[in-house]
Amino acid sequence: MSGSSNVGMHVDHAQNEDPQALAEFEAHVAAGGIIEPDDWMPEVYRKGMLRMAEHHANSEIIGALPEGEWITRAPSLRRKLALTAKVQDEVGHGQMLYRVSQDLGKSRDQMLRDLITGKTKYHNVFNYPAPTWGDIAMIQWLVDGAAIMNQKTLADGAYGPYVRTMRRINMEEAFHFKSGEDMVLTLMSGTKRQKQLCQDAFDRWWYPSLMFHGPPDKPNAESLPPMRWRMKTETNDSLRQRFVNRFAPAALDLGLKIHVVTKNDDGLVLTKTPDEKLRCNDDGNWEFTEPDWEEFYRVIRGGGPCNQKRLALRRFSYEQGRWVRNAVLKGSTALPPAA
Amino acid sequence: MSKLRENVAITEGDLSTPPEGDLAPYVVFTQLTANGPYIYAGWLDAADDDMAVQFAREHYGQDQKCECLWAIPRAAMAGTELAVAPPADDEGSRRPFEVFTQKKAGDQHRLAGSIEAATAAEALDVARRDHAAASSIWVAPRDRIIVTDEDDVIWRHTDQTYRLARGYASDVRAKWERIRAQRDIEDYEQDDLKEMF
Repeated sequence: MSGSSNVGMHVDHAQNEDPQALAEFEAHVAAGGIIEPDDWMPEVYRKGMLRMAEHHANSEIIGALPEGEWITRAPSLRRKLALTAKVQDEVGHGQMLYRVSQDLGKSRDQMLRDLITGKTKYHNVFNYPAPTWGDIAMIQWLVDGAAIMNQKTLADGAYGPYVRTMRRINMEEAFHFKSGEDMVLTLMSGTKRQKQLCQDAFDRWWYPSLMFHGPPDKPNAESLPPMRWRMKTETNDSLRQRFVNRFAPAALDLGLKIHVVTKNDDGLVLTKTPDEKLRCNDDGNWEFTEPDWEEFYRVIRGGGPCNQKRLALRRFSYEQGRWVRNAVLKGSTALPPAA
Repeated sequence: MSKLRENVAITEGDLSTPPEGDLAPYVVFTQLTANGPYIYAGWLDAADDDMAVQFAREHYGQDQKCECLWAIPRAAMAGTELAVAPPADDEGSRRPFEVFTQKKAGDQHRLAGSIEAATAAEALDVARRDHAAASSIWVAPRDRIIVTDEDDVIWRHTDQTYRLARGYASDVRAKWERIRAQRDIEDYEQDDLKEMF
């Protein structure tokens, strides 16, 4: 899953760079050129790409956690196999993206440690709970669906190693999305209880999915470095509109209702009312009630339902796994820690 | 939810374990069809050659059918842009080096041929002359390439459609058709003149 869209692209205009080299760089990128690791690049571009790739890698690793919880509880053997494969894929994506980041100048071990200690972030969407099997279906349908939309645009970016990694990731993301779509269709073709399970999960995940593409764009977004330098190639608002245009009619076709919801501190729905703004305009764009952007920033700052839990599990895994790393790296035969 | 996951303590601050540094990077090339080209798949970090080839099989060998793969430690390679200097080989007897080229920026590197050289630096110089139009060139001594055997089964022969998008395509289409047909029937029945039936 992509996590790069709401990384907070505070890439300042290049300061103190050779003006001629900068001009050549910008012309090359504007003409559709690719930047490879040995090409000259502004320092802020290198740092921005590092931050983006690291954030994306962190998101892949953390994103595997809510789904990993459901492998043993998946309702059939085929769903267990598929979910196991998906979790394996996501962690593999994280590994590939950490490599892109390492080549931009930061060690993998430091990135893993900074993730656990909260110095770096991961995608907000993984700070929400997945209390039912319906939530797993919705994560794969809505969140992976949003990720594919975003990652296809990132595959048109300018930084070669990241673009090649996106192409590879997108191959597997297609399986994740189709599997999720199949799960949602199965539930919505089922019993009344299955349909209600699906509706409840949709109510929990519709707005986090709308927030997936990041906060509303600044007025001059297309002229700022992230777009100008093709670190990203489509604005947050454009991606969000395309997401709604694709998924709102699909959800309605399934018999799902699109609600504006309020939630409690555990991320569970308290109230829901139909989205009164939801309609398709003559130009084919759907109008919708914007997400609660205060909630978005509150979750980024650590106030989401699962922020602490996600990092606690990563920390536990890292610290408890030290004996494995010692065995692999140093041939140590120390026993694992007591459970 | 397992009891382990439910009861993990919330701890903040620095980690109790000291920093450990990174494993060594390896580049992986896969051969998708028998006698087909070796094409760049990606990188991985591993502690040694055995671990590298196992990771390569599990990750790069599973997202599409794969006949054979190579894993090459970066430390053994020389390249026009790799962030390491060519390895300081002993200038002994000449040995074969595999050459990988990237046609243009953004492309994947592919196996382009082999040359004999005494050192990686010499191999890279020769490759630069032979492939002057390439955007990027990598060379690696053949004896440092970890190769899976011909008899090695990488892509599993059991039904793998559960992990492929095409494994869901026809079921998804059929389910959409049933759902939409059912809604059409329900919409139609709403307009029925119920008092007539």
